[in-house]
Amino acid sequence: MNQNTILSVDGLRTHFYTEQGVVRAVDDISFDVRQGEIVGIVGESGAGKSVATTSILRLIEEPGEIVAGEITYQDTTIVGFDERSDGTLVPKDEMLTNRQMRSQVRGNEIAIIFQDPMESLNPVYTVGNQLQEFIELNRDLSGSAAKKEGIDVLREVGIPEPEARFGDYPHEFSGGMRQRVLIAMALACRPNLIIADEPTTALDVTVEGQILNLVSDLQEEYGTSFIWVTHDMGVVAEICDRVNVMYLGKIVEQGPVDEIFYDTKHPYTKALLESVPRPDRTVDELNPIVGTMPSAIDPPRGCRFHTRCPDAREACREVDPQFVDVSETPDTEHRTACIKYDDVGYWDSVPLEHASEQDTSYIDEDQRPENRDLEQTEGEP
Amino acid sequence: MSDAIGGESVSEDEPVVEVEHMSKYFSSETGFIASLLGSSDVQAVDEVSFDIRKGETLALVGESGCGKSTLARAVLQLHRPTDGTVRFKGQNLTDLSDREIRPLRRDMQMIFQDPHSSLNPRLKVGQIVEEPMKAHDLHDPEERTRRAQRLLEKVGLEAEHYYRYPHEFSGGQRQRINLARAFSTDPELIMCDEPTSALDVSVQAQVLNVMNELQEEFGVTYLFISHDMSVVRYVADRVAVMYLGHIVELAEKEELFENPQHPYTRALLDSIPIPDPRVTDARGTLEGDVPSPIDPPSGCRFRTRCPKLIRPGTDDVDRSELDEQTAAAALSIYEMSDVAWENVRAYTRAVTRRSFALEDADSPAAVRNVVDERFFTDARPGGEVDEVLDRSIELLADGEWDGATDLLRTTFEEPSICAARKPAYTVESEYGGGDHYVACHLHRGRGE
Repeated sequence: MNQNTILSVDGLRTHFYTEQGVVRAVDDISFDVRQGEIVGIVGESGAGKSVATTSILRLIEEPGEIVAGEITYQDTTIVGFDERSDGTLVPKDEMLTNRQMRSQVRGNEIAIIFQDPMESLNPVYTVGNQLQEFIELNRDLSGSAAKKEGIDVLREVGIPEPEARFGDYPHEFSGGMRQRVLIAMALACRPNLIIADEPTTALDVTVEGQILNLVSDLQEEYGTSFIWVTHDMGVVAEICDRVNVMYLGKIVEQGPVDEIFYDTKHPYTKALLESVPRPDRTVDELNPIVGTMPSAIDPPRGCRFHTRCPDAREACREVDPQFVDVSETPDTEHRTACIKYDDVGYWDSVPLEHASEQDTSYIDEDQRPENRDLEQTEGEP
Repeated sequence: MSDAIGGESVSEDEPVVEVEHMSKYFSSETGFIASLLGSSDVQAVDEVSFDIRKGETLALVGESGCGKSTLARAVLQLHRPTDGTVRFKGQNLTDLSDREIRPLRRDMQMIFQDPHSSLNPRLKVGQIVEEPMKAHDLHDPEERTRRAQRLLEKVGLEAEHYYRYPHEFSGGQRQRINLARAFSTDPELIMCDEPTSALDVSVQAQVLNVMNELQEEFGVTYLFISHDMSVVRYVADRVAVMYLGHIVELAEKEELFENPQHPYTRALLDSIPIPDPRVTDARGTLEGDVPSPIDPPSGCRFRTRCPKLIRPGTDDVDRSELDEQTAAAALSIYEMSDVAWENVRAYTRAVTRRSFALEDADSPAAVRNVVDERFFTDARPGGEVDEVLDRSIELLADGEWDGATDLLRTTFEEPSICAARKPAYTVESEYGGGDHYVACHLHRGRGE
């Protein structure tokens, strides 16, 4: 573990027990966050991004449950299990109680910003009221001091006429303004880590730009770390330092942002990048990923992406891919879960029918960013 | 364009739709609250003119609330325009009654954003696709079934899906069903209102590709509404950018993306995150919020946020054009350096938005210190301009933010050509040969 690591997630599994079966929304993921960096979690809907982040704050509700794994924030254990002699897992003694989570972690150490600001704000209290209460609870400031602090953060996040708007109700704010209010709330207690769950997805692009700028400024000023959940590769490229790409409950690739885009290893990441329309150049043809994401109740055996993967072979159906270190240099920490990079017989196995049928030529020829290093992309054995 | 009416098709490059000075206002007087406050109309779309050519994809882009959906609906007469004309294949739709328009709807189909609410859950896919054909009394039942099944195959589904219900399909597949339905009457024009914005990127690409294939095969014309500039760059032939009910720029795609002329278009393009970590362009972001369409800014509607607001006092505006209050506040000369003008503009907007605090500064001298430190570190205008600034500072010291706002805006914003006149210019394209319309006074003198 890197010495600057503030949060580490190791082997986390969060399952939902539904009538239709067990949904393995998050199934054995590991990643960490270091001081002052922005870590991205990217993937399509249903990949398990939000479940992963709510697990960190232990906000998973029935019928969901964190069933295994360890989450450590600085020196405290947020989630941890001991294995009994009969093989069952019991929470560790040092794991924080729910009360401790509330008083010690949520809000003042780790804050979260959700996608839909209207659902996060109580419509019957004024914005100022909610902000002030939050500050009073978390920062030991009393009435007027908390109010002043509240107005200051509102101004800081760019709310016009903050004194006047302090007494307004959430419905009187526009979508972008409400999202700013939530950011103001998250910031008000000066947390060390902010989890942002698609905070700009519902916003217009110019407002999104304002918010991304705000985040960069704040990160510079206070050294706050962020976990940024998004489906937008553009946002990832813009602000993230390191990226985790998720597919159907698993992290399929993780590494520094530049390597994810320019030295892409996992076929899913590659396909995702190929299917994004570009704002900065005209593309003649997009190469979509075939099919749709399977259900997490009964995920495909072996590699979960093999049903849609253009490179899939027989072995992908059988072998559960492990994280393989594909770093070029020791300090890049670029890992991927694809058996192409492992020694388990991928190259001797026959391509799957769907993979040979579909047009995979684009994967091999010109790679997306034109100046990509061609010989590195295929990862020959 | 003569009498090509009804089912006859128009030839290549002819406009399918011609819109002239069309406006759509909504009355806001229906609610209880509105009746208390007294209200005026919401100017959702204000005097727009453009045409859509046969076989092309015209994209309407803009942020939420800019009026792009209203504009498209007014074109199809789903909302009747308040003013102006809309011609569809030469026929003036605004003159026709709903009954007279109905047969024409066969040639104008629609696809909406939400794939979950746009399909009737009680009908089988086959019935859904056949419905428009039935409504227009096209073909006999067997032929309809055959067509529906063939269309389902064309959009990438299977003929057997004819017998299934919508809930059995994913979002992307439902949008394909919507496409099949829209194409069932062999229309001339399809309005697509954010057809892929509810879909994941990989599925979005599938649907966009199917739309392109269908267009190639059937030669249909798309009016494509989107807020996503990347998608627009992929599908469009020409692009119209909207801001607060006006079209601010309209040009061929390559020209618009590579040579944008309107400050709003530039800001919009600059703020899109580019999926490439090595592109490290500074993000040019826009300040402030979109004003209310109930009382939109005069002249150019973007002027309240525009980073290029033109300094008043240039020769373009005659004093007689200004209203009384503005004319009284306008200075005789606005001589200052460009840097000083930028500072004045920034200060005016900051006061309007109250984006800085005066803390304990209550004397004019103290306020002046705060203001100087924040806005006029490098350059302070001299003369008459300075006197106005001083007056505004005195007002601020008395806590009269509204008074200061009024003073600054009537002196520095309202007399500008941007506020006095509505811009409309055509400039030469650098990419491709088409016209490039831009509604910005920076282009005055470069052709009208």
